[in-house]
Amino acid sequence: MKTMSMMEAIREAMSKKMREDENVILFGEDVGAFGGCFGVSAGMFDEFGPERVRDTPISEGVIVGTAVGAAATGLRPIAELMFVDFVTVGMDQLVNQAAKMRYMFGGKINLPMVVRMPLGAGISAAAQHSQSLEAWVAHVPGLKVVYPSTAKDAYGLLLKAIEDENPVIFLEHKLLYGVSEEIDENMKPIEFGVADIKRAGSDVTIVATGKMVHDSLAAAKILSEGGIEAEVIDPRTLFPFDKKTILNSIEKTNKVIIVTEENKRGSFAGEIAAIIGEEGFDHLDAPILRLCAMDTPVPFSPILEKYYVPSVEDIVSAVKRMF
Amino acid sequence: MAKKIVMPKLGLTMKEGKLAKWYINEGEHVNKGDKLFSIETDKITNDAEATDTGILRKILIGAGKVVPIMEPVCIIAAENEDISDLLTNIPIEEEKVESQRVLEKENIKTDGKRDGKVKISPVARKLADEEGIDYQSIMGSGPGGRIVLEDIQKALEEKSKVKASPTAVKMAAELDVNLADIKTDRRIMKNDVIRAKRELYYEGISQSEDKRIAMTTMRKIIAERMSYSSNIAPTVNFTISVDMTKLKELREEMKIDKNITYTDLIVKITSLLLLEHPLLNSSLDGEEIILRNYVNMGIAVALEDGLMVPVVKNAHIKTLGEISYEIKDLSYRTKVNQLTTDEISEGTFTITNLGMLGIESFTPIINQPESAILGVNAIIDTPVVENGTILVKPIMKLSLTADHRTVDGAVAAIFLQKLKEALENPLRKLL
Repeated sequence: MKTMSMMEAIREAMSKKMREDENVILFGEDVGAFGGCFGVSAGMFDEFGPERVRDTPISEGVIVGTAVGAAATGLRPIAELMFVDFVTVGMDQLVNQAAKMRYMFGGKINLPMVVRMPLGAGISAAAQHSQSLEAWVAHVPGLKVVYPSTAKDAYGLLLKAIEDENPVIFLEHKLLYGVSEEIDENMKPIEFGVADIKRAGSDVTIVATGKMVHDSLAAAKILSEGGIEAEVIDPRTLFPFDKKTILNSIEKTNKVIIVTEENKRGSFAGEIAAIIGEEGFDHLDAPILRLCAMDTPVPFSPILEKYYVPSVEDIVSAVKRMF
Repeated sequence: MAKKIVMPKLGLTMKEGKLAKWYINEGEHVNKGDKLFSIETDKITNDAEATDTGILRKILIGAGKVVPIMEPVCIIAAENEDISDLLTNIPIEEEKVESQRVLEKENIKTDGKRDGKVKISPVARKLADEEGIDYQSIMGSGPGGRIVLEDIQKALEEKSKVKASPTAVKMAAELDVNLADIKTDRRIMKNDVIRAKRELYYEGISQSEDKRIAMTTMRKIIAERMSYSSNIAPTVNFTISVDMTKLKELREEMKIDKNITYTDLIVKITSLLLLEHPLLNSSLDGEEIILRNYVNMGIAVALEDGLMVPVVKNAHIKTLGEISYEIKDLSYRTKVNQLTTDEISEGTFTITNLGMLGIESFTPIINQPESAILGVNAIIDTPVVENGTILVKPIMKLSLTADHRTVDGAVAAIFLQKLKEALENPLRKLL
């Protein structure tokens, strides 16, 4: 057992897998001697050397394309994009190559690659370095999408992601790099498609991802003082998606709110709401609510940025509106 | 003296009227009794007359508007009279009409139901539907007046709550009666509890129980065919009494050699007679009537769990002995379930005899597509008046059911009359 931050958990999971399997490699902008933009890969260059921990040119198309090629020819690459915002540049390689290959080759190819992407607002990195674009990747068949909210989940899910024979998008919220907890380094990988009930409650279900899981937990504490017991569920993987845990919860609470940091329009929160509407309609006692960021680019001003992202107070008042 | 004129109430049921037309313009003089405006209701059109003389100072309701009764529509006053007091008391016309409309839309009807859509959450609606709760009349407590789960749960609780008098409650405890089991719309009183207790007592003794058994194929066919016949045929029933003195003698005489039954005799005689009354031996097929020069006589045979109608083919040309033998054979094989499909099809007429069970008259159902069926009843010694003397005679009633689509009343009656004659004078027909 060891107390690790999420950043350390991600580093440890990668290192563990690299020690076990020499085919696992890491590359990205400044992940080498510099240790990564946020310091996630600090020390790994020293341990695994320049062959396996490589810096790349500033071209996401090249980074993702390299991963596709490496994975197709037998390696298990982990590619790091500096920000999820830059996936737009690598989108062709991701959507038209990585996601399609297994299907187009009739299942005769494995493509064991992980693309790690930091996302989220909160560090005044402005419109091009702060978005939450999970819906873009979750929309594409052929990509698995992982979005952990705790250090332990990040550790277990990344182990699983590296073991997976298919392209996995691994989303890391920048503000969560520091959250830490005790982790058993020998823990089993966490299976995809299994949501985690972060807090049990009987009156309302809050489905949240990323940093919003923590804000929802804080809101649940406040709501509890007012007599409302919220159940907070983190899907952990957007594809495969664990509908059952959420629908079971709604059967109990009859009310649901989905909290994500995305722009509301076209968000994955909308997808979750649609699933609930289709399959959980008869259990609903109130309209399904989505609480998301505003439909604007992420503002640079810290005050506006704070206003833009759902806050604990926003969650509390949105839940109260359902009663 | 300024005066408000209102929409009059023209009938007991009138609630509102359409102000169709103004006859007088604002500012014009009007005499008491002048036509002031016309009113249309859903029933009539009528004119309202001025109830005062003066100037029509203000029209409050324009033509074409619907106004509730007793609502002011105009003001009549002297030329320079100050009517501002009256005006301030009256809301502006447009608003008045609008608010009235809104009120109507959202108003709760007398039976407590609201018009149009009721806001109710899916889970609440599901529970309400399952429990048979009429949620139309429930006031929702959720956001925006939505009926939520809790409202239905409360309604359920309310529904299951039992209202009873204190004596009834005490009595129920003493007699061990569950008040919730007593079904009544009003408050449960002492006597209800006593009645319930008595019912429970008898129920305890009788141990009432419904048992369900699956229908046999035969039962299903009987059910289907009888329903079909009953649905499709307008039937008429006829009864006639037959003096069986001679037929009885004849049978007694024959019995010495052969066991000829009344059924055998009636089948033989009826078969011969049917040739002369072809409509009773006919079938309806679409828009055609099938007439025959032969008789296939169906004989209804009761079974323990059903009924079959085997057919004596060409009964009109068979001898009494042959008919008797065949009926015995068919009955036996019916009972041991050995009939062929041939032997139960192509009947043209049916005879059903319940006489041995003492039945005096009944209304058999036609075995479609036949046109008639003859019910044979018990022979009963009956006092009969003949030439002013009371005699005791063996009388049997015949019950004929005929399909009126093919057989008219008189046709059936004549047939029965002839049949009566033939049975009363059997040798005439048999020889």
